[in-house]
Amino acid sequence: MAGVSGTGVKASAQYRAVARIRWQILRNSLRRSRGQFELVARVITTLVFALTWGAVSIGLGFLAWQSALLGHLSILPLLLWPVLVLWQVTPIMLASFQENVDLSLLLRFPVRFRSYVLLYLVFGLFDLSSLMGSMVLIAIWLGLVIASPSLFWIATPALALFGLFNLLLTRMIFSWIDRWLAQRRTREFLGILVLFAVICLQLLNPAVHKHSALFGHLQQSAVFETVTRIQGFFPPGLAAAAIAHHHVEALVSIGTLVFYTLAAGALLSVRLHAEYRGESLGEASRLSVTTTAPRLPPVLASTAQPAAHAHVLAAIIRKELRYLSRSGVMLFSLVAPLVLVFIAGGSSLAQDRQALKYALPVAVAYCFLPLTRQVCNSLGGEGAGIQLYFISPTPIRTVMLAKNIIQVGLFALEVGLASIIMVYRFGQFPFGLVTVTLCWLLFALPLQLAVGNLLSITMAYRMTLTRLSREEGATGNGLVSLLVQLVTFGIGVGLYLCLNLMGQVRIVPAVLLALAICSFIAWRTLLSRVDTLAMDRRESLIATLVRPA
Amino acid sequence: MDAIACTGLTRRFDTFTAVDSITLNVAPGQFFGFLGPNGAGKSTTIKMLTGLLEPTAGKIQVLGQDFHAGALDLKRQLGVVPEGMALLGRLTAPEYLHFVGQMYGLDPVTTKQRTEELLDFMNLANERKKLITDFSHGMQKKLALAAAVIHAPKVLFLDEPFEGVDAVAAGTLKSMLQGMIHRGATIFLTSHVLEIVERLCSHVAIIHKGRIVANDSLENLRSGVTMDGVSLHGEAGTRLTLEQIFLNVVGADQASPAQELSWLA
Repeated sequence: MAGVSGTGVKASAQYRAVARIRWQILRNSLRRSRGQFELVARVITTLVFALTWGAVSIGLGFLAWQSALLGHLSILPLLLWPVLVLWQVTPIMLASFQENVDLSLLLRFPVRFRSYVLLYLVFGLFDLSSLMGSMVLIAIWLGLVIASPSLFWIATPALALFGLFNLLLTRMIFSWIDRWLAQRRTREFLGILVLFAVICLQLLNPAVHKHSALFGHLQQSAVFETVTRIQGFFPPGLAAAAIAHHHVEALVSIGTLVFYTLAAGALLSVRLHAEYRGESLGEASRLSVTTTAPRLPPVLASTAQPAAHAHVLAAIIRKELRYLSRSGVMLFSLVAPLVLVFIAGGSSLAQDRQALKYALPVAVAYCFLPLTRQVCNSLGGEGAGIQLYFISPTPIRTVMLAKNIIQVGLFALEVGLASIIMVYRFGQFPFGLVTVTLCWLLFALPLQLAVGNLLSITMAYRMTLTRLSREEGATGNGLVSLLVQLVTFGIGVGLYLCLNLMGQVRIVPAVLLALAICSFIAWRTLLSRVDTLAMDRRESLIATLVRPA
Repeated sequence: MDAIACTGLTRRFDTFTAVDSITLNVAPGQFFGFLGPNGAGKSTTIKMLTGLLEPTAGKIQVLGQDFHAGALDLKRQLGVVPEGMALLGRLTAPEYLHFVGQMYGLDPVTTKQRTEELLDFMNLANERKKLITDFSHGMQKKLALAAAVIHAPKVLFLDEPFEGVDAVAAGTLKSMLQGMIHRGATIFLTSHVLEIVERLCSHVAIIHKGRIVANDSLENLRSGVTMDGVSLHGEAGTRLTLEQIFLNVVGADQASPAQELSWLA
């Protein structure tokens, strides 16, 4: 092939091409106001995370500095474990609204496996979690080295290796979750695994609390020693041990950390190799047999009658449920927050009486989170099917109504389960608080649905229902929807606190009910105008959802 | 009364005019082929005729009534296979057909019965459990066509229905479409495959750079009709093929000087 070197396409040229195309995509997206908004949303998200993580960095950096200064390097695991947890949890939090690039699209080109892996990792480096995690590690490193310059030679490789391990672990977890969520059997297996983990955590919690009395003399506690010993076998403990100890012990710790890093890399490599080979994550069998001879065209009787509203509603609801049941990613996003509620219910924070008092309303408000995508981007999963709604005689109003019915059902299920968890953990809540919570729900739900319908039409983005990756437009939509949720929650909290201060807490339900009537009217009004809105926006909706990947 | 009539239909995208004041009339029962080179305005026109795109100017009438995106009663009489096929990838073929039937107001029993007939007819009956997203392109086309006819439309709009369809499936589709024409339906079809248009369509319009440059019965076009000063005549006494007509009408400024790509082996 003329123009192609004998050893094939140069990898560096491919990297440059990928970088250039990403830049061009960004530049082209700025031509539209939607793209500009998306960039602003991304900048805001990054700033919010940078500020949060910046504060964490300063705190942990200071603690590292003090520990090195005072020679208490044994506390280093307490600094590194939060880094690991935050690094791994942040991508899951961001997955619901941040754009992630699906690199499998590159596989149509002659890209070598190692180039594919490298690109996958480089994109991972620019993840918010990696950037923020690296920032904290640099702060810890600075704290250690400033306090004790002699630590430079061991803290540098130990923390760099720990950072690399975190990067590989995040990417590995994501790639395997994508794989497991793609197929029913593995989805069920993952579900059982998660359930098992949750039960283990719940059993662990009471055990820890039972022994909490012993924690007064931590150094003497056998439990503490066991925990310390066990954590020492894991990467945060190993990185800390490498820094705290000298010579042989440090080398052994670094060696074990290298082993962990390689293991995470190997597991990631297994997954990426399968992707690279062209693995399809579809659930259907590969073979298709078409042997039936074509018969005469079917006799098509008279033209269809006006659609019975109930039949159409039922059809759309059925379709939505089928979509939900076949999307591991959507099911995961529904279940994961409940798991967090379950875990939070058993945390030491939940022993705080003040926190306990408001556990129910907080848990109920939290239940909006898993439905953010379904509510605020309800057309995103339709793909080319969006055209059907515009060419069929069914009003878009009916489509949105059916989607809202499903959303209310799912929300009721989430709230029901969260409430059961709360009552199971903390017992019955005061009747007054339950009433206020219910009244707030009556206000918040129609408002969320109204805003969701509006965003679904005006800020739709294409959703991939089989992967955790998100497409362009996810950040802006996600940020606006989170903002609306915060405002809705803020109104409830503000109202409760103000009237409580004024000694008028009894009228909170009445005020919330009045607001609920307003939000219901807003939802009805918007629903009645949704056809006009959708027709006005149909070109951009179709262009966004139908365009090829 | 025409099945489809549009007057002065125009669509502009900023400063670019994709469809420039076209006027078309398609009689009931006609198999109408709408041709044109890439980017000529075929898909834009069909999108406007089916309510997927708002015209900048002009008037559309379907079955004698004014058509616009909100004309739901009229939409009930139309079947459409749009450019993106309008399929819902995470459903199976029977589920999708059932869904479309209900969206068009068919009762569940009729929908079920027609779904079975269509699956059988399109040779998709063996693929009942496969998700549409896992279908081949040709199978998806067949399914999209099945969905477009499940409610027995009076007017059918097809945007490139034979693209990516194998010869056997194309034969099946052609026989179905011809059957519909015999029963009085009107079909408006765009295609790049001139042989198929030549075999199926009774009338043809050619769009070029957003303007209609030929519009007549295939018979008239073959025998040589002049439009906009362009002669369609071939050699004396010969009847033109559709390809010759097409090249005569749009080929003049499409043809580029003979070049070779030196780097191709």
